[in-house]
Amino acid sequence: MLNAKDKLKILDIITIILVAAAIGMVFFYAPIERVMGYVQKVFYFHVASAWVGMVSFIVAAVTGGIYLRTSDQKWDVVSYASVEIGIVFAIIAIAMGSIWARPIWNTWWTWDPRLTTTSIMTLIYIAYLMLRQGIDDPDRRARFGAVYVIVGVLSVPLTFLSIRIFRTIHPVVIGKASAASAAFDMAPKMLQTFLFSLLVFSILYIDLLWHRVKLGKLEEEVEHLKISSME
Amino acid sequence: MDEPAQTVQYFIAGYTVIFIGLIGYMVSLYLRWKKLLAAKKMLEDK
Repeated sequence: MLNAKDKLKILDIITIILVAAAIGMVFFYAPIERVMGYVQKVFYFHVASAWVGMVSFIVAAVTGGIYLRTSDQKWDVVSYASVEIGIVFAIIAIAMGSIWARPIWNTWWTWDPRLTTTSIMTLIYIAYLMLRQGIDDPDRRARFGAVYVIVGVLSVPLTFLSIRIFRTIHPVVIGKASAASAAFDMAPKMLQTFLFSLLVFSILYIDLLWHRVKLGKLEEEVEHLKISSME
Repeated sequence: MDEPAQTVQYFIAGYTVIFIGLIGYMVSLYLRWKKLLAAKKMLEDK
């Protein structure tokens, strides 16, 4: 029977192979878009990063809710870890989107509903990390954190639906576009690369979360040791 | 038929951002892990 360390090692190896395969598909398999050229290939990892960002914040809210019900610190560790990873991917998605926008929209940034709501969502979670630093008592910090992520998760559906609710220049990739927004039609090879990228980034998220939770548990141990050494 | 736009430099920039971002985050996880292990050892030795 494999122990947790071996399982994590296997997941690491699988993740590295899958990420390499996804890079290969983006660079060599997906066709070059007729109008936008090479920059359109940014799309595959841009959307996958945004996807992981949103999933992370939903996972943080769910585990925050479990913490409030059980008062088990491990769920706070998972919630906090998920927020941290979500912020990394949300910032990557914003930066990649900005690079894609420059040649296509002729600007690095515009206050489009999708860009604005994504920025607000990311700032909400950055504020969460900062506010947590200001609370010393672990139980209070965990309770506060859980309530914050449950309220903060409202920004996720708002961000996801912003391109369907408001008039926007950001294309709709998942689901049908509304009259106010543009749809993005993909060739079969593009769609395959896109779906594979989503899958790979989801696995990468699980792998990173596992590592970050391990780190969180060690942080907890050190915090307990510090408290007991002061007593 | 028109040629696609020449946007290869933006493509490279986009993927540079994601690689730097992800590798940077993984390095930060590793460094924090090492720092915590050292702190744990020091506290246990006290």
